[in-house]
Order: sequence, then C-alpha cells, then structure tokens
Amino acid sequence: MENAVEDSLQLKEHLNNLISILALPAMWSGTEPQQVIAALLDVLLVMLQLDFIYGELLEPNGSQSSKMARLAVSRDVAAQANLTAKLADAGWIFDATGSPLCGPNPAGEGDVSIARFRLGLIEELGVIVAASRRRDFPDVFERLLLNVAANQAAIWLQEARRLSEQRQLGTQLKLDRDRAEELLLASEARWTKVFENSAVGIALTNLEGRIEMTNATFQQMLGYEERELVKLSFFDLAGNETRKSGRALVAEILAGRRQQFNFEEQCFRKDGSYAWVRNNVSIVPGADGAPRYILAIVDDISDRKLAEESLRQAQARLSRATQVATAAELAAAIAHEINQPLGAVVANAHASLRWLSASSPNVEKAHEAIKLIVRDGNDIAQVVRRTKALFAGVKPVRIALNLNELADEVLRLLQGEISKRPILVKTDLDEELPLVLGDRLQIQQLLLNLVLNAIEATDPVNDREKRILIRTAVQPSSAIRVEVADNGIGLQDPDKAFEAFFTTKESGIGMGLAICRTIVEGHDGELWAKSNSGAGTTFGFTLPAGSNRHDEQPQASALDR
Amino acid sequence: MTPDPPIVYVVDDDHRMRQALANLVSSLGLRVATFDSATAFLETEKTDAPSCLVLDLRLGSTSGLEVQKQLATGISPPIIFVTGHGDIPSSVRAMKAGAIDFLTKPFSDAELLQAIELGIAKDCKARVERRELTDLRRRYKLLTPRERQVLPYVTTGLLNKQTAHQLGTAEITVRVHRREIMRKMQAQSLAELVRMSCTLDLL
Repeated sequence: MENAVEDSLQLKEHLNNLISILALPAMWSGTEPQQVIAALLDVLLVMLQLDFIYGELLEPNGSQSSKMARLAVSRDVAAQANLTAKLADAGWIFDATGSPLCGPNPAGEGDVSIARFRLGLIEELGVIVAASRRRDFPDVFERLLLNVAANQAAIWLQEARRLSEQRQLGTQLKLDRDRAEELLLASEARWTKVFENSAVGIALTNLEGRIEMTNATFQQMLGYEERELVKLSFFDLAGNETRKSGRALVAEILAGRRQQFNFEEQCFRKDGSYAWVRNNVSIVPGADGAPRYILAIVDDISDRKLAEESLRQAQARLSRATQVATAAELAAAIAHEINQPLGAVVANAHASLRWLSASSPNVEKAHEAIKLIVRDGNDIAQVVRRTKALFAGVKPVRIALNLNELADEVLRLLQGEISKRPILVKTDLDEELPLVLGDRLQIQQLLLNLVLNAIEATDPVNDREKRILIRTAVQPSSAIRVEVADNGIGLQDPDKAFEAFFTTKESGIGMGLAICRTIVEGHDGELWAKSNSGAGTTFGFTLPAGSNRHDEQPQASALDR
Repeated sequence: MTPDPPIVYVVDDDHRMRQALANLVSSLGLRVATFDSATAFLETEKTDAPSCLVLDLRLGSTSGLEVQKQLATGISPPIIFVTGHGDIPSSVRAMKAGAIDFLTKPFSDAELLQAIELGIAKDCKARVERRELTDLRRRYKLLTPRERQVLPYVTTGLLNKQTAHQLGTAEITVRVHRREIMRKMQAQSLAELVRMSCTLDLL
C-alpha cells in the first residue's frame, strides 16, 4: 500500500516534470539556440538530479558546434568549461548507440551511468548526454522525460533554424532587390541620357501609333513640342504616300511577320512643310513579352534628299539639253541631206516646165530633166528610209507585259516630278488585266511620255486641284485600254497633238507624242486624245491582249459601262 | 565688135544641183557654164560677155563667202548665193559684200530668173562703165603734155585770157589747145569735158 502511494506520488512528479518540459518551448521564443540548450540542460540537471549533463549543438553546415556542460556539484563556470572540454574530447560519448552506458565519472569519483539523446533524427542538430551515479539511471520515466525534452529541443531548433534561414533569405532577397533597383536606376538614367541626347529622333508610340514619348531631336525635327506630339498619331505625321504603307508595315510587325522595317518618307512638320526622314521602326515588348510599344528611330535626311533632288534635276536638265541639241543637229543633218536632192528636183522641174511650155517645146531636154527628177526623188526616199531606221533604233523585243505593273513602275520613276508639285495622282487599275506582248522599254517610254505630258499640262493650273488619273481596263473586244486623264490646260486641237514638233510647252521639242504614236502603232494598237467634258485632256491607247493571265473571259470594267 | 550673149556661171560641188541649175538656167534661154569648185572657176578664162555667178554658199573645202572675197579683188560678175539652209549671219555678210541675192533651196525658177536678170543687168552696166573708162583713158592719152597741163584750167571754168595769164602764154595759143582738147576727148561741150575729167579722177 505504501509502495502504491509512493508510486502514485512518483508518477505525479513525473507527470509534473513532463508537463514542465512540454511547457518549456513556450518560454524559448525569441532566444538563441545556445541559450535554449543551456536552459534545457539546467532544467534537466535539477529535475532528474543528474550528476552532470552535456549538450552539443551543431551549426546547420555541420562545421561548428557549441558545446556546454552542467555540473550538479558546482555551478562554477571554470569547472563547467573544464568538464565540457573533457567530455568533448572523450570519444566514447560519440561511440554511444543510445543504450545505457557505464563508465568512469569524468567529473568526479566512481562510475556514472550515461544516457545519450539525439537532437534530430540523425543527430544533425546535436546531442544531449545525461549522467548519474545511480546505477539504474535512466529509468523508464527519466528516459521518457529526456526523450521528450530532446524532441522538444529538436523541434524548436529546427523551427528556429528554418526561421533563421528564412530571415537570412529575406535579408538576402532584400539586398538583392536593393541592388537590382540600384542597377535599374543606373540603367534608366543611362538610357534616359541616351534618349535625351541622341542625335537621331526617337518616338515611342502605343500599338495604335499614338505618340507616348519623344526626344528633343524628334521634336526639333518636326517643330512640335512634346505636349503637342502626344496628342497625335505617328501616322498623322507621315506624308500622304507613306501613311498607308506605314500602317501595313506596322501591322506586319504586330502580326510577327517581321522584326522591324525601315523606309524613307516625307513627314509633315508643324508648319506644314515636309521633312525627309529615314524611319527605323521596331516593336518594344512589355514585361510579358507581348508587344507593348512601337519604337521609331527617325533620322532627318532632308539635306541628303535635297542634294539628291538637285542632282536629279541637273541630270534631267542635262538630258533635256542633250535631247534638244541632238534633235537640232539631227534636224540639220537630215535637212541638208534632203535639201540637196530636193533643190535639184525643184530646179529640174522648173526647167522642164519652161522647156515644155516654150513656144517651141524642147521635149528632149525636158525628158532628160524629168529623168533626173525621178533619180533625185528616189534618193530622197532613201534618205527618209535611213532616217526612219535611225529613229527606230534596235529591233523591239516582245515579251509578255503587265501594264498595271508598268504603270506603277512609271509612277515610281516620276515620283520626283510628282512630289515637286501639289498634284493628286490616282490609279484605277483593272486587277484582271490580261498581259500584252510588247517591248518593255518602248511601252514604258510610252506611259512615261503620257504621264509626263499630263503632269506638265496641269502646271499652269492654279484655280483647281491638280489631278491625274491612270486607268487600265479590258475592252469588250478584249483589247487592253490604258488612259491617262488630266485636268490640265487641255488641247485646242487634239488631233494635231501627234504631229512631230508640235508642242505647247516651252521646254519641249514636240517629239513626245509623235514617238508615242510610233510606239503604239508598232504594237498594232491605237493612240488617241480627247478633250474631257470638264477640264483637261485624256490620252489613251489600246493594245491587243497577248495571253490571258486568267483562263476565264476578261470582264468588262467600270470604264466600259 | 558686139559682145557675146550673156552667160551664167554655176559653181556647186553637188553634181545633181549643178546639173539641175544648168538645166534651169538654160531653160531660161541663157548660156551656162558649170564648175565643181571655186578654184576651177577662178582659174578659167572667161568669155567677154555680161555674166553672173550662181554660187553655193557651202562648197566642199572653200566657203562661198571666201570665193566672194577673192573675186572682189579683181573684176568679178555679180554673185547670187544659193544654200541648203539659209542662216541669217551668212546671208547678211554675203549681201554686205555685194551679193545680188541669197536663195534658199529649193527655190522657184522665177526667183532665180529675177536674180539672174538683175545680176546680168548690173554686170552690163558695170561693163559699159568699164568700157567708157577704158575709152576715156585712151582719148586722154592722145593729149600732148601741154594740153594735159591746160585741161584743169579749162574744166575749172577759167577764161582763155585768165589761163594764158596763169601759164604765161598768149590767149590765142590757149584757144588752140582748148579746141584740140575738145576734139581729142570727143567732148561736145565744156560740161561733158568736166564729167569726163571727173570719171578720170582728174579733179
């Protein structure tokens, strides 16, 4: 009975101890691992009336450890340190497998029983070693208590270590972020400087082309201020010709079909004048990699264009001068060649007339003279044939031609002439146009002459918008019909226009339309001119269709309806 | 002796033109002689007949104007220029240098005939003047030295008495000289003698 009461009291004490141990972690929050182990060692030393207790705490990387010991007989720090050193050197502690051990007391006389408890599953956190001179140490309760204590410590240490790692990570992350921000700021500052001081104009627009940001060079180039520019679309600044193609190219970039594009165009300045610029347009992706901005790097090439234009003008003048000079020389040479025999013909004819109309006609003499007339007349025909051959030049080479393409090509060739004037050039090209067989150079010359004539015909016009329309169409007869209409000064007598050396222009020699007619007739076509019901003239020609591009019958176009 | 009928000289390096001009001129009823170069024309002995020259402005090696200049140094027939392409500076120079006309090929027979008639008429007149001068010189040579000395006094209108006084001789002697002068010079009046003196450049 007494035993039972004692057992009950002992059990109660054990339970109290257990509860105390379980309550310990609540006191440990905010303390360092070494302090936790030290406190634990103190509690266990008293609670289990141990002779000494030793604890070893391993750092996470395993390289270092904190070692400490507590002695029941002495709380002297030096004695504790002495014991710690002794125990740390004692290899036996580490040979232990966890089963109770007995050995000589390193802290005093006699033998001690030793119990060893892992901190962590494989002692990765450390170890606690408890010793008592009692032979039965540790009994079941003591073992339970020590195990619980070791587990509690291990759990807490693991948690503390995790928190510490997180804290460290957090600190590192913060450091990293601060550093990154610093770098970003430096980079931004650098790029801002580049942006602001760049010798080329830079504009950043949204994907619709609305301007979001421009640099000073860009503003100066076009004479706008930033606040004015951000109200505009990039396409508002583009010249008429390039606005459409610019949009198409941007669409291609957005569709991912091309990385970037560059082209030369005329841009409107604020004052309405034009600047020639070279645009280099690319996409700037956002953080998610999707297109965010359109970046336009714009170089002012007005000076270069001006130089090019004046060079081109000089060349054009030279070429026209050469043309005129050549024509004059040619005319003189031909005139001389023809005038000699022609003079002889006329003189002989007069002589013949006189002989025949004399009171006693001298038929014999007249006969002789008329024979000379025949001879010289043939000579003249010869000269004319030779001259024609000279003008005809090389034999035409017939290939299949797309007149729509040629019309576009001619407009490109004349871009310089067109852009010098406020003139609206429109095309109405039949997509289904069959090919024609013809000499590429001659047909090009033909179109060139007609369009140039149309342009020049509008030059004196001041009271209305200058317009040119180029139409291609298929006739019901399946012939190809091309018309160049202008609203220029018009012709008094359209039929006279095709005579050689007929001109209404100061700068012309009047050969253009004569050449046109030669070319068209050489291609079995027809060339005509008619005055428009409104202002100006329409020149047109038909050429027989060569081979049909499409197998179906060509359709009549709007022009024929 | 009566002079030969008028003749037209044609100088042209183009054989067709040369032949045609020859035909045209002969159809006008005139004599014609053709030359293929200026040198050939200059080196040929001409007949004694009223004439004119139809000259191509642009002869192969020599320009017609050059020929005109060479002819101007001697006795030359009036010149009618013909050209394939008349340029104004050449025609002006030709006309200034005494050309009759400047015809641009092809020209009509009427134009040529008119020019030729004008040229020959001019040459006739020149020939008459040349003949008169030759005749006057021949007559002047018949005068004695003393008569040549007296002639200026007579033509300046001095009386015989005044002339005799000036020459320190008798009035009767002067009267004899004067009659001889009038006879030898075949002058019908004092006025005619004065005109002759002018022509001979004695005044």
